[in-house]
Amino acid sequence: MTAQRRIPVVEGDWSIAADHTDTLEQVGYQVLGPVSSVSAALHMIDGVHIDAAVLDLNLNGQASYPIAELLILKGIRFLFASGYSVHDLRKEFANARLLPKPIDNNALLSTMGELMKAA
Amino acid sequence: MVVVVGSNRFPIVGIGASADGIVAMEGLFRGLPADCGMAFVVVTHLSADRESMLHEVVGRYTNMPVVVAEDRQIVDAGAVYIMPHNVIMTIADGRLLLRKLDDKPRTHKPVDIFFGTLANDQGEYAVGIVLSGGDLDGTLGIKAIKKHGGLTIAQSADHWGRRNPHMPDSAIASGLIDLTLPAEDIGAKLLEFCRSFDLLADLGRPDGEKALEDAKPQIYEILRAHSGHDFSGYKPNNFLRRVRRRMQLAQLPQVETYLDRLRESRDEVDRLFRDLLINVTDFFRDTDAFKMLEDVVIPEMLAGRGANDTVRIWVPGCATGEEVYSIGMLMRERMDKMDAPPRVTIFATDIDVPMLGVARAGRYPTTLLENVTPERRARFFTNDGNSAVVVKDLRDLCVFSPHSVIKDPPFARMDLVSCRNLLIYFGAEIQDRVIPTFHYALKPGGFLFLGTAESIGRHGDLFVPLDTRHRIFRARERSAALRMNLLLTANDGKNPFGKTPTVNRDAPFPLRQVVESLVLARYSPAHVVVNADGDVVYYSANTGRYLEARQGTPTRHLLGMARRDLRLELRRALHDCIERGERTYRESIALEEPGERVQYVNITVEPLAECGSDKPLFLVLFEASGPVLIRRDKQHDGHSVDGMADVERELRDTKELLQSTIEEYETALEELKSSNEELVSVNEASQSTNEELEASKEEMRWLNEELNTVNAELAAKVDELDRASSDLKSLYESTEIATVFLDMNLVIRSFTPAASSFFNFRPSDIGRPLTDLAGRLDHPDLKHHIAEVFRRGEKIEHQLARDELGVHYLVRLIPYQTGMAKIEGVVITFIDVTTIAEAEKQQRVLIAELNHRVKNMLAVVISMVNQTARRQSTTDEFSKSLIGRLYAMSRAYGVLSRENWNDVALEELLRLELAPFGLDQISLSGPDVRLKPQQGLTMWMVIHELATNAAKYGGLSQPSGHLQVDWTLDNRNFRLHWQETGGPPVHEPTKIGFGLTLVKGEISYRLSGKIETRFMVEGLDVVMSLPLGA
Repeated sequence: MTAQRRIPVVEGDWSIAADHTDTLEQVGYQVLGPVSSVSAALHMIDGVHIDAAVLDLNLNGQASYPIAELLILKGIRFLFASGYSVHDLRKEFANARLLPKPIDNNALLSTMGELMKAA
Repeated sequence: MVVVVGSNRFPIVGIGASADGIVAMEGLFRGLPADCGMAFVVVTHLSADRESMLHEVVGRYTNMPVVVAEDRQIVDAGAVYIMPHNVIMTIADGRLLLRKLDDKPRTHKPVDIFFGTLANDQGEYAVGIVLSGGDLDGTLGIKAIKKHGGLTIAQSADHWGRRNPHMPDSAIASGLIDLTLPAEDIGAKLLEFCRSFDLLADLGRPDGEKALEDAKPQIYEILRAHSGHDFSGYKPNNFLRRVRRRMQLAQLPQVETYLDRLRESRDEVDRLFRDLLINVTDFFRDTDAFKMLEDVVIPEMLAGRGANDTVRIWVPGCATGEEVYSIGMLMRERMDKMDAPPRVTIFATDIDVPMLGVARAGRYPTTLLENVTPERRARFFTNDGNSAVVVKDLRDLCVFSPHSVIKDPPFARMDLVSCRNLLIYFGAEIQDRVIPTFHYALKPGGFLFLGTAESIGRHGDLFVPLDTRHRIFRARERSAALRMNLLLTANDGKNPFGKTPTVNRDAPFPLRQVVESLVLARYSPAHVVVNADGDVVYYSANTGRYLEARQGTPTRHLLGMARRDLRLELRRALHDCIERGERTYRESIALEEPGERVQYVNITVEPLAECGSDKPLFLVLFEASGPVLIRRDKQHDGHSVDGMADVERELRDTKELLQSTIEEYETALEELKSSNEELVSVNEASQSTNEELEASKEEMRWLNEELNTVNAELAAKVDELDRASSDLKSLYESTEIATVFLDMNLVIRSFTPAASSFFNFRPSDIGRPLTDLAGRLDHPDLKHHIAEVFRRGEKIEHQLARDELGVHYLVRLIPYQTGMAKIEGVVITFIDVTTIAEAEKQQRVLIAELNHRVKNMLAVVISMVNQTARRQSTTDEFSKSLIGRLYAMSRAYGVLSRENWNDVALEELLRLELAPFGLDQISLSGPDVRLKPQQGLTMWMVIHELATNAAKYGGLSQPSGHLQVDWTLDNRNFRLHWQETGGPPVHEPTKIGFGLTLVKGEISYRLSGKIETRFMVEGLDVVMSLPLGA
């Protein structure tokens, strides 16, 4: 694998984050993080090349919209992971990809594959 | 206060009133305690076709249970029974009996009927109370109660609404009422009465009986002194019962004290006297006497009378009419056997107008008909419920009118006067006057029928006894003079001839009288007695020579009867005597007799001084003087003077002129008299008209009564409506639901206060069409919805969008239906459902949140499974550690949801999670720290992992091991020290296990804390610190 795809994982719960990390790393992605807060995430992706991102919508009570906004600005694809439905998203993110929790690892990988292809 | 009655008997109080007596009942019951030991039965004149609310009304005034009486209900003390409508109520053996009323409720007398049976059933324990009422009902019932020794009470004029005094007044007039009291005082008297049964219990014992028996002669004596009547002939049992009753009412249980009372109080004697005379008016009272009347008197009275004759009977003091109808029945029976019976009129008179009303009605409770044989009951009474009504052909015999025997002129030409038990109420003087009045009223040979205790006194000269035992007398034929005198002296109570003609009162025909009569008749000069008007009141024998019957109407006037020759002198003599008051004398008046003969006559007129009467009387004596002369003797007589023939002729002419003038005058007088007689007969006609009017008045009274009842019930209904209306109004106000009532044309009929503030309605908007009023009501669908309601007749609900104040309204349109299921309008309500709407919204949020949490948790579980699966080599280990973690999670959720997802106490968390590993090996110490839900959840998992590890490999894996957990809180910085000792020796592991990885991850990743693990030889040592946040 020439250049490992770099994917930040932003997830409130440690065990879910660990699971995502394991899943992604097993197929060769390089996982940044994981981190559990908006500020840590913003700090982590600042000035770093990334290919796509996994965003938990609700970070221990904090919405991850600021991160999403930054990613859109940068033109980087991402997926939302959330217990909420797509209808509960803020309107400007109505077209964002959302994987409903709990996330099947296969669904995570295939969705991530789609994001990569489109990039 | 409990009144204990000697035996288990208790008084039953009957209360009679009409519908407007409700007010009086309030007064009565307010004055009574609940435990008075008596039972009350209320009988009213209720409208038959309407359910009454009386029991509810009475229930407000008393604490006693008030029930509507039921058939065969046993009457208990301390309860009130109300007669239901449309029945006849009676009582027997202490049970109320009800019978459906047939269709003629107007005429029945429920109070009389009930009181009648109450008297029979309860005797001395019966109490009858007559309250306000518009009828004469109750009077006969009172009579029955009194007859059986019960207590009778009437409401006096008081402020408890005696609006309709007929009933109590009639009862009072009957003289049978023991107590006349204001309504509110009746209760106290009843209690006294109730207690008096106890007081009198002593008298019932043999010694008490004896004391009373001993006192009997003294009581007789007192009564004799008071009234002149000797009661020693009365049945002793009856007598003593009455005395006992008076003692009871006077609250004097000792015979001696009662005797003292009798001696002191004329009033009490009078009451006792009256009580003793009760039960005297009754049908066929003294059966034997009536038998005599039937067998002897009436056949004789009717003998030889034909259809053109009239038989007249007078019953003065007729009271409630039993005596009248008794005589009427006997007459009818006799008349029925005759081919052409005469016309019979029974004049029944009394001074009490209310009593006459009762008598006129001729309606008696059947209990009063005991002495009437079944045949007579069948023949003369129609049964109407429990009262017997006199049949028409008997009633038609009787004319009832008010009249006083003492004051009013008597009736005349009677065949029979029946006056039983009236005289005993009069004093001797009045009796003395009344007997001659009866004599005057009777035709010669007419019959007088008196009561057993009565006599004609010293008037043996007026009456011949026919049957001494039964007091039946015949009028003697006496001169008209006496009759006249009676009339003349009726007002002064003295009879000028009462004393003179009778020397021995007890012997009607003494020898001396016979002799004197003979001498007077044969040998005395003819004489007459006249009054100041010249009317003859007495004739002697042999007046025919001087007086003659004249053509025309009979006259008693002396000058009208005197022979022509005597008239002038007689007039002058009489005139002189009256003027001067002394004896005058006229001599030698020539009286021409048939056959050219002349008799000289002397006339003496003398005032009758000894008669002592206010109206002077004069004795006129005619004496023949000298022998009878023939006319020519007369001419030889010195009386005539020659040469005076002219003068004499002139004198004769003058005399004749004078004579004719006098005769004309007398004719005029006669005419006046006959006019007077006509007037008398007109008067009789008026009397019968009057009677008809009375009957109509009665009818009107009934109608009025009924109207009163209807009115009273209407008033109650209106009250109820008012109450219901104000209830509704308060309901509207309390619901604060804006409601508008619209009629068919969408005109506002009414609206609630909430609606008026909601739509800015004013009271003047009622009656305006809804379409005129813009405003909030004007939502676009409203008209459409209203039309829909009219069309389908079903309600429509519609929720309005949130208005500018953020309030949600639910509009509900309901068809306004009357009983006919016809839609007459629409009711629109506006219900504020903001809270419901908000709750719904809240609910949606909660469901979304729950959904999120569940999914989140599942995500955590799945990732944990994944993690565990990656680390554990065997399935067994995998499932064990997974299930342990899931249980820990579930415990954490359990505690958190119990705390409603609020803070959770650290110590509880530790205790719960460490408990399975044996708390005796564990020491916990630290301040009270509360963790936020997310912190608590994470900490739970951390402690679980540490504890599981300790139990598996560390300090808790051996009994000698120990775990020490200390924590501190310093400026929201939390620090926890986990220290294991005494376990197997610990070595730094080459690879960190999943448990510790998880611990580190949770603490540092999720809680942004720090964690330090040291593997000391004696055991694991973990220090974690984290900020708890604000």
